[in-house]
Amino acid sequence: MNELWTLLRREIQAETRQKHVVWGMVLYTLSTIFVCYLSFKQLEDRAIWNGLLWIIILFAAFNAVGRSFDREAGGYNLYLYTLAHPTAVILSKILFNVMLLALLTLLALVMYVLFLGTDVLTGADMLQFIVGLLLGAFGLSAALTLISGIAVKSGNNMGMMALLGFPIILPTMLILMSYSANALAGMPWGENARNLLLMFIIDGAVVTLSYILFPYLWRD
Amino acid sequence: MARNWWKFLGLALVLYASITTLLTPLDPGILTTDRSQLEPGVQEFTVLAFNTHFESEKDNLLIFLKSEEITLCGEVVEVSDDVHARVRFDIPERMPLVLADLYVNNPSDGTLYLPNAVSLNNMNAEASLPESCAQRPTSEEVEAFGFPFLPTIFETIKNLIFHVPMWFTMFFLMGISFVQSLLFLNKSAMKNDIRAEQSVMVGLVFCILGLTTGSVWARFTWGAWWVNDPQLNGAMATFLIYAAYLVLRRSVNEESKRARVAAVYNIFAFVMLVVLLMILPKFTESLHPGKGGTPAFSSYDLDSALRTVFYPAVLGWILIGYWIYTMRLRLTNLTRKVLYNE
Repeated sequence: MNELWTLLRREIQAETRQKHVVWGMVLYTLSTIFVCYLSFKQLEDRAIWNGLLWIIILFAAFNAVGRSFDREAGGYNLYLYTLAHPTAVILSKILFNVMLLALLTLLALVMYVLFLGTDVLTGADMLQFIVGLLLGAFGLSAALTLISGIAVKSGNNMGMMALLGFPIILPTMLILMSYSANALAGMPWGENARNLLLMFIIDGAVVTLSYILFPYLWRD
Repeated sequence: MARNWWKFLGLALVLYASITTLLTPLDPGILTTDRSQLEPGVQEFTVLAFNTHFESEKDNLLIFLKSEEITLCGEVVEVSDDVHARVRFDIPERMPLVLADLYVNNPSDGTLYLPNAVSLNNMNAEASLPESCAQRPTSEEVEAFGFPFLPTIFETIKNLIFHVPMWFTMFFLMGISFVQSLLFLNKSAMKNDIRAEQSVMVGLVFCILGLTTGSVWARFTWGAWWVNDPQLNGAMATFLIYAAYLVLRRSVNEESKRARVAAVYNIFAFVMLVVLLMILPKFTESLHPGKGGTPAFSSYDLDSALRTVFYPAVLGWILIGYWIYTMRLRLTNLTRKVLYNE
């Protein structure tokens, strides 16, 4: 447990020391949103608004989480390998990615609303919607962290990441879209109970699998 | 020979199922009528049926309209061939507007019916029941070996025998791959890795066959090659996941590392696949039988004739799939022997 916090603190330190990387991600998200704005202008259709937002978040997630294992060069990994337990390594990476993506997602929402209009948000349950965004950030980064660990073992990291990640992330995306469509329509929480439950089950399965499988990836 | 019996069994079952499927006729049924509205007075229309024996049962043909309130007996005017019959009804003046089901009965085909075939168009008034028809005897149900006649599906029901076993076989092979990947992570034996890869390769072929047979079927019954349906999306995701698995394998050069990375991905992917294919469709609307409220084949559509062909087909295809897998395995092992002198 102690190990986990130390590793997490180190991840955050490494990120704050390289501020340009974080700003790069923010800029990437902003550019994506601006391109969407140029091609769609104001969006009035709720389904398209919702779908587009999730696609933007998905790309941001691939960009942010995809680099969780190439941040350090081989020498550092060897050092970490001798010191830390692999389960602590993967859990710290997942936790860090969740925090990073949660921030990025909220930022993306603000920029998205700014450019593509608030027409859709009238009558929406905003608290429910934002809880959905955070849950989504959790689900996406948890699933993609292990995939990123797999992809980095092949030569072509980012390409492999997309290839392996997209089909794996499908169930999460389907549930998230239906959840946030309900939240945008202003449905009561009860309507989304099933989506929430499914989301928790999938997230739980993903974290457990990462916890069990990562040690096999780690020992090289 | 003695230890290869299951290969012959598989071949025999698949041959039996395919031939029987193609030879078995569909049960008779009524397709349509040439009029859907009847006015009061003497009315005539033609009934178009499918696989019936009107010609030979000309004298025993009984056609009547039935709704909750009334039964109207028709007079068969003309039978031009086995599937066309012209029938005349005397619709009473005073009768409520109702939708009536059309019944056709004869000794060869049993009782057939077309729900909501015609509406009897007339205004208010009490129903007056003609007594003539209800008292005439109808012939017994006919027990013939045939596939059920279902609206919009018709002859394509035979595709069930080809389409569904593909998915069973694929699941069986992907299951083998999953277990072999688990074994590999446990023992790090190279043979488990080879088995995992080969079963995915054969499974993927069955996945493609399942997608194509399904696509052809969807074009006929739902009107498009691809429709939005959780089952179809799941099938596509399955294809993508395992194709990605094969690409991943080919992009890692070092053998033991490749085996480990691929096994981790395989296990992760299989669990997500189970969520996508088994859990999610239960909660979503689906066109497929047995999902999201639509009844499963087993409940009533899969009748006894279909059953006697369907289960052998599933078992036969699984055996054949496994046979292809063992052949690929032998080939790979021989190649490795020649190349690396293992």
